[in-house]
Amino acid sequence: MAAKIYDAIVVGSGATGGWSAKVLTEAGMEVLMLESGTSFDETKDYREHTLPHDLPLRGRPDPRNELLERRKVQQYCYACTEVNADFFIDDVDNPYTTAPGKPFNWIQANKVGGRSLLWARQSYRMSDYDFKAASRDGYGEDWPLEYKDLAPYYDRMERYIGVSGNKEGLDVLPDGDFLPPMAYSCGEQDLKATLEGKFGVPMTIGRTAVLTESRGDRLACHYCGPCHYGCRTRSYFNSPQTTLRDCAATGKFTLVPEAMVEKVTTNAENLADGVTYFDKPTGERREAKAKIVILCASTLASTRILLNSASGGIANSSDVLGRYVMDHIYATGVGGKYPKRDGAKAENAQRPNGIYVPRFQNLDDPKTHTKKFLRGYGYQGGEGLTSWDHALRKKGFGAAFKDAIPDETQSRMSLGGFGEILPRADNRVTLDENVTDKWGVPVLRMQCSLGSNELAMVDELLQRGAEFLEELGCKDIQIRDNPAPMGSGIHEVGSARMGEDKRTSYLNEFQQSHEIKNLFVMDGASYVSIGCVNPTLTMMSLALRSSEYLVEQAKRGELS
Amino acid sequence: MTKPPKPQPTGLSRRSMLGAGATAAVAFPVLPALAAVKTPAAVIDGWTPKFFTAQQGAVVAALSDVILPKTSTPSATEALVHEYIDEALSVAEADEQLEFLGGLAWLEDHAIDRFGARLEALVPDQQSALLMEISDHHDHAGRLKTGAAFFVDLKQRVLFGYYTSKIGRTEALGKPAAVKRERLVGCTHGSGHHP
Ligand SMILES: Cc1cc2nc3c(=O)[nH]c(=O)nc-3n(C[C@H](O)[C@H](O)[C@H](O)COP(=O)(O)OP(=O)(O)OC[C@H]3O[C@@H](n4cnc5c(N)ncnc54)[C@H](O)[C@@H]3O)c2cc1C
Ligand code: SF4
Repeated sequence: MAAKIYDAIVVGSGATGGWSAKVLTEAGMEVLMLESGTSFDETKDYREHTLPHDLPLRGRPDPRNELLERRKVQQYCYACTEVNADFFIDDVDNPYTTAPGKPFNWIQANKVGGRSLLWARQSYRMSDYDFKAASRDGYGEDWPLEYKDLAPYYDRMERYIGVSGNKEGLDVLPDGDFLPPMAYSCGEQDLKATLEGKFGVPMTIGRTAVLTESRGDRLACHYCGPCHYGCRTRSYFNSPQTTLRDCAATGKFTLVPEAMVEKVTTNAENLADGVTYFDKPTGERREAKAKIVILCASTLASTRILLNSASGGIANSSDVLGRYVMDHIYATGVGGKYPKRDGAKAENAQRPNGIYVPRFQNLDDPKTHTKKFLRGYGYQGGEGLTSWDHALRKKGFGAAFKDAIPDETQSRMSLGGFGEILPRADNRVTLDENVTDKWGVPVLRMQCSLGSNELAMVDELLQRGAEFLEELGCKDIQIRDNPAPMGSGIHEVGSARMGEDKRTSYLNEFQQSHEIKNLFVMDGASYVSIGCVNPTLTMMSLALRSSEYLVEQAKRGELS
Repeated sequence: MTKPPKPQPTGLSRRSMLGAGATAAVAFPVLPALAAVKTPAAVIDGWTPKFFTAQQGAVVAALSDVILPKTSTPSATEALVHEYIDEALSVAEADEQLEFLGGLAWLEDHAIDRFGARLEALVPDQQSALLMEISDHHDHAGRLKTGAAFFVDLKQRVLFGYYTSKIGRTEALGKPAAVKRERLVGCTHGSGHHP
C-alpha cells in the first residue's frame, strides 16, 4: 500500500510550528506534524504549583534525579530544574560540538509545545530600526520586508495569544493591541521616574504573553510564578493549549510525537516530497510523504535537517545555510541594593514579568547616537524583594536574630542587558561528520562568538546601567561583565536567512526556499538581523504571514 | 540507588576520652553536665538518619535549634530542619560530606575542651556559648578557623532548610501552605507623585 501523501508536513510543534499548522489545517489542508519530543500530558505536565517543600532537596539539583543528570547543558537555563527536566532535551542522546574557544549553549525542548512551554513570554514588536538597519548604518542586509508588511500580522498575533502591556508611543518599540498591563512595584515606579525624569530614557512594564483578563477557557493569570512548569489555567501562550488545539479541532491534523526528523527528501523534479525520521521508541527510520515540507524545528534544528538532507546542504548554492547565526548579548548587567525600600513586604502574588527599557541608542534623535557601536540594546529587569534569603548574609543566630528576619527584607534592582549581535558570515554552524546522535545522525558543530561591536556594547550597557542605578540611590552596585556564550540568550536566529537576492540568502520574504519552491523554513532560521527585542512574537507573526501566502500559492497550484 | 560509602573525617584526633576538657581553658562555667556523659547519645524519637549516626543527628538537631530556637514561631527542629540537612548531605559529594563531618567533629572536641562534656549533653546556653565562639559575628583566625567555617556551613543549611519547609513557609513567613489564586496589586501610589 502506498504511504499516505499529506498536503503538508510541519516539523516541530513549538511556537512557530503551531502557527503554521493552524493556518494550513484551518484552510482545509491535511497536515502531518512530526515532533521529536514526547506528548504533552494534561494530567502530569502542570507542575507550576510545586513548592520547595514538595521536593526532597527543596528544589536544589538532586543527583538522584537521572533526568537532570542527563541535562548538564540544559541546566545552564534557569528554567530547567528538578521539576521539569523532562521538558528539556536529553544532552547525552543529543550532543553537539563546538569549535575550540567558542563555547555555545543550545537550550532545546523535549515535549510537544517545544520551548513555547518554557519561554519567559516577553513579546515585543521589531521596528524599521531593525528591518531596515542595514540602510540606516550600512552594515549587513536589510530584511526583505518592512514593518508595515508585518504590522497587520503582529496585530492578529497579539490578539490571539494575548499580550499584556502598556502603549508608549515609541517608534523603536511599536505599540500593539494589548491586554491591561501588569502593575509596577513601588521601587520600579521610582526607577521609571528616575530614568525618564533624569535621563529621558523611557521605561515600560514588560509586554508579556500572559492573560490579565480571562478569555473563554483561558483564564486570567493567578500569579503563581513558575510558568515554565506549565499552566493549568492556560493563562500564558503556549502551543499545546492554543494553536495545536485549534489544529486538532479541524479534523485535518495528525500529530506524531517522538518522531525525530532526519532529512528532507526530494523527487526527480527537485521538489521536496517528504522527510525521513526516527521513531524514537523503536529507533526505526521511517518515511513520511507530503506535497509541501515546512520546517519549524527551531532555528538550529531546522538548519541541521537541511544540512543533513544533501551534501553541502540542500538548496544551498548561496552557501548561506548555517551562516549568520545570531543571539542576544546575555548575562551582562547591573544590580544594586535599593535601601529606600528595605523592609517592604513582597506580595504573595508572583508577577511573571519584569520591566523593560527599550533601546535608546542610535535612534533618529542625534542625542542618542554613539560612535562606540552600531545598533543597540535594551534592559530587562526590575525590583526584587527578599522574603528570608537576606538572612543568609546576616550575622549571628538565636531568638532575636530569628524574630527580626521577616522584617528585614531587602530590595534589589537589576537591569540586564539584551543587545543585538551583528550577523557575521563566520558565526556559523556546520555538520560534525565525526559525531552522531543516538540515532546515528551527524550533529551540529557550533562556531560562534561575540565580536568587537558586541563587546563595546557590553561596556556601554554596564556603564549606563550603573549610572542609572546610582542616580536612583542604589548601593553596592555590582556589574556582571562577562557575557555568556552565544546560545545562552536562547534567542538563536539566522542560519538560513531571507533576502531578495538568492545569491546571498536562503529564503525569500515568505520563508520559502529560493531553490525548492515547496520547501519552507518558518522559524527563526530565517532572520536577517536580530534587533534587540525577544524574537518569538516576530517569529510567529512571520510564520502566520508565510503560511497564509503558502495556502494561496498552493491553491493556485504554484507549489507543485 | 545505593548509598555512597560514608566518608570518615581524617586529620582530626577524635577524643574518645571524656573529661579531657578539665585541662582546657574554661571561659564558661562548667554546668553540671557530666552526669549526662554516661548515658547513651541522645536520639530523636522516630527518626533514623540516612547519613548521620543517631548521635550526630541529635547534635545537629540541637545546634539547629540554637541557631533558630522556638520563639513566637516554631523552632528549626519543629520544621524538621535536621531531617533536611541529613537528606541533603546523604546525596552530597564526598568532599562536602567530609567537610561537614570534619567541622562537626571539631565542634564536638571543642565541647569537651570547654565543658568536659559531649555536645549533645550540654544545656542550650552552653551550646549557644560554643556557637558564639565560632559565629560569624567576628573574624576568626588560627585554631577557630575550622569551627568558624563549620558555623557558616551549618547556619546556611539551617536557614535554607527552615524557610523552605512547609512550617517555615506558613508559620514564619505567613504564606499559604499551598499555592492559591492571588491578585497582583503593585504600587498604589500612582506614577507622577511617587514618594
Ligand atoms: C527559558 C526560556 C525563556 C525564553 N524566553 C523568551 C521570551 O521571553 N521571549 C521570547 O520571545 N522568546 C523567549 N524564548 C525563546 C522562545 O522559546 C523561542 O524563540 C521559541 O519557542 C522558538 O519557536 P520555534 O517554533 O522556532 O521553536 P520551539 O518552540 O523550540 O519548537 C521547536 C520544536 O521542534 C522540535 N524539534 C526539534 N528538532 C526536531 C526534529 N529533528 N524533528 C522533529 N521535531 C524537532 C522540538 O522538540 C520543539 O518541540 C525563551 C526560551 C526559553 C527556553
Ligand atoms: S501564567 Fe500566571 S497562572 Fe499561569 S503559570 Fe504563569 S503565573 Fe501561574
